[in-house]
Amino acid sequence: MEPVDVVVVGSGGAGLLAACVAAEKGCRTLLVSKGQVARSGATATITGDTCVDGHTAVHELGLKADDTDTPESFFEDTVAAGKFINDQRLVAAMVSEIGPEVKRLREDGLRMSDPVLTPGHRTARGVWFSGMELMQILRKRALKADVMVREEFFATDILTTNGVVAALAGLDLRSGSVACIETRAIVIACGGGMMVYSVQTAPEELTGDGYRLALGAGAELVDMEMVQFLPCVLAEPQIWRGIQFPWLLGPQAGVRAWLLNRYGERFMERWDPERMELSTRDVIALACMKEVLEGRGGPNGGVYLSWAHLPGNIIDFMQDWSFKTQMRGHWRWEGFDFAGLVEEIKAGRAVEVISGSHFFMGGIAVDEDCATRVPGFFACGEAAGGAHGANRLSGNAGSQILVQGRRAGAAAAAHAAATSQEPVRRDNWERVSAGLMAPLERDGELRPFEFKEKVQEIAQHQVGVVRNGPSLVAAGDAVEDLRENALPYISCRSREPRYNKEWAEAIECQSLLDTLAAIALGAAGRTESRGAHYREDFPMEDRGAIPTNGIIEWRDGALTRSTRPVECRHMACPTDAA
Amino acid sequence: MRLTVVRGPQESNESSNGQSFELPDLGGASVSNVLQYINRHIDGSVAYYLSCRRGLCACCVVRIDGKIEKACVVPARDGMVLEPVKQSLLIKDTVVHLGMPRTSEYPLLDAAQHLQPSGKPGSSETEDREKTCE
Repeated sequence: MEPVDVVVVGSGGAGLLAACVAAEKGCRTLLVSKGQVARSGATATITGDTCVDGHTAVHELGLKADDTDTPESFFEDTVAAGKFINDQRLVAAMVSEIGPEVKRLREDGLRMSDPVLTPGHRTARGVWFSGMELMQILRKRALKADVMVREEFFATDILTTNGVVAALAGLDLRSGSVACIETRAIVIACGGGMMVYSVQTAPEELTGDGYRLALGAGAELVDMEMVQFLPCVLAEPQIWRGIQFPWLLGPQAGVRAWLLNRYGERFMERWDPERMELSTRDVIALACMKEVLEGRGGPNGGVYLSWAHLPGNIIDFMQDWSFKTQMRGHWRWEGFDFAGLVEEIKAGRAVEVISGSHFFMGGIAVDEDCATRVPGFFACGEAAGGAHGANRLSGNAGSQILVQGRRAGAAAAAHAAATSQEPVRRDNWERVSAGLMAPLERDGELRPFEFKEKVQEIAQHQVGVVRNGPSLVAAGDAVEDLRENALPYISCRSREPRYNKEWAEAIECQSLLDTLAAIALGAAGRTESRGAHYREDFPMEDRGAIPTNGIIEWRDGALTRSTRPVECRHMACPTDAA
Repeated sequence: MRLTVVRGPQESNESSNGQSFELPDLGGASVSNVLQYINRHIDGSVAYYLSCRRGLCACCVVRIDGKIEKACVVPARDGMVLEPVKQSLLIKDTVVHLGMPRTSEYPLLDAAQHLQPSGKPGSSETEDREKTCE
C-alpha cells in the first residue's frame, strides 16, 4: 500500500478542516473516521454558538455586535473563565484567527445569525450556525481538495520508529480487518471521552480514543481532570436520556424554573442565594450532585426541575421569544417533539434531571502549532487540551476546532514536506495487531458492554462532578483492577469479523479505561478545587502560588502525573502571594 | 416485544432474510436502543450505526415498517420490521453508507497481507536497519 503524507483521525469540524488544509497544501491526505464523514463526532451536535469578538463580527462578518469588543477582551474572558490554567498561546491563536475562519465559511455559504450573549462573555460573541451545515461545507471542500477517506476505520495506535511517527494502525470495521497505514504525519481530531460517564450529552463514538493514541505514542495529556458537565438534562425515558430540553426551557433561557430535591427544598439557596437556578452551570451541576450524594435525589439519580409555580401561558409564550431560534411555534427540539412533556410540565409535574458529561477541557498536550512532543504527531479540536483551562465558555468549542483544525493541517503538511518516511517496525505492528485481534479470537464471558458499564459506574460515582481523596484513590485502584483482571479477558459473542460492532466496542474499552485512569490520576493530584474540578476535601482554589497544569504520560510501564507552572505569557495569574 | 431485522447483504435472492428477536421491556427505548440491546445481549452479529442519539447526524436512518426514519428518535414498538433504507447503500443489516463518495475511498489491504514477511511493514531491509541501530 502506498504511504500517505498526512493522516487525519476524526471527521468532525476540526478533522475535516485539518484534512482540507493539508490536502490544499499538496499533501497526499487521508481522513479516517470511526463513524461516517460529516455525520459523526460532537460537531454534529452544535446547534448554537461559535465565538468571535464583536469588532470582527461587525467589520469582517457584517453581523450586529458590539463594535468596541476586541480579541484582547475575548482572550481575557476566556482565561478568566478557565481559572488561569489555560495555555495562553492556544487562547491567543483562537481569539485572533477565528474571525477569518468564520468569514471563509460564510463565503462558502454557511448560514449564520447575529451573535448572542452567553454567560462569562462580557458581550455577545456567539455567532449562530449549525454544526451539520458546517460539516457539509467542509465535506465539499474536502472533495474539491481530493482528500482520501476511510470511513468506519477505528484508529487505535500510532506506530513510531526511533520515536518518530511511522504509521497509524486500527480496525477497519467494514472489511473486518486490522490494518496499518504508513504516514509521516498524524493529526488526531477525534474529540473527547464523554462516554466514560454513564450520562452524556455527546455522541456515542466519543470514547477517548485520542487519549489512548496519544499515551501509547509517548505524548502527554494535560489537565484531564477538567471535565465539563451540563446540568438539567433528561434522566428518562431512555430515548431522551442526556437531552438538554429542560435546561433550555429553564435556566438557559433565564426562566425561573425551580430546582427541587426529594423533599421539595429549593436547594440552590445553599449555593447561590442570589442567582439561584440562574447560577453558572458548574455550580448548578455541583449543587445537584451534592443533593443526590447526600440522599435527597430522585429515583433515577437526579433532582427535580419544576415549573409548577409558573402560569402555563408564561411557558407557552417562550415559543415566541426563546433565543433557541429553532423553536418557534412548536416544541420540537433536535429530533424530538416535546409537546407532550410541556403539557405535563404545565400540569405541574416536575421533571427529573441529571448532569451529563458534556466536554473535555483537558486533552492531548500541544503547542500553538498543535504539535505534541512526538515528531509527526499533532492534535486539534476537543482532543487537544489547554485552550479552555479549567472551564470552557459557551461557544468557545466552535472557535477552538476551527482555528486548531487549520493550524494542525498546516503544521502536519509542513512536517510531512520536511521529513522522509520511517520504516514500520514489524515487532510493533505484530504486537498491535495481535492486541486488536485478541477480543475477537479469545474465549471468555466478559462482554465489551459489561466492561463499559463498569468503567461508567466508577467514573460517574468517583470521578464525576463531586470528588474527594478517598474516592479518587478507590477509582485509581479500580482502574488497575480492571486493567489487570478484566481488560485482557473481554471477548466478543460473534466471531464474524465484518462490521462487528461488538469488536469495535471491545477495542473502545481500552480507550475508556485510559481516559478514566487519566481523569482519576489528574483529579487525585490536583489538591484544590478549580473550575470544573471540585474536591470536597479541598473546596477552595489554591492561590498561594502560580497555578499548575497536570501532565500525564506513560513512564516505565505506569501512568504518571507531574505538574508544570502555567506560563502567563499575556495575562498574569492572580495569586495571594503576588 | 417482538421486532424483526432484515439482515443483509443477502447471499442469495431466495427468501427474505428477516430475523425476529424477542425483547424484554426496555422502558421508553428508541429503535436504536433496541438495536444496541440486540447486538449486546442477543446476537453480536447484528450491525447498527449510532452516533448523536438525537436526530441530527441522521446516520442511523432505517426503513421502519416501510417508512424511512431516524432510528434514534423513534420509540420502539411491538412488531416493527426494520430494513436498510436502500440496498445500493447497504453496508450490513441496517447500516448504510451516507458519507463521502466511493471514489474518495482509500483502498486498504487486509491484515494478512501486512503480516507476510515480504510485505510492508517490516521488510527485511527494516530489520537490518533496526539491527544496525541497536
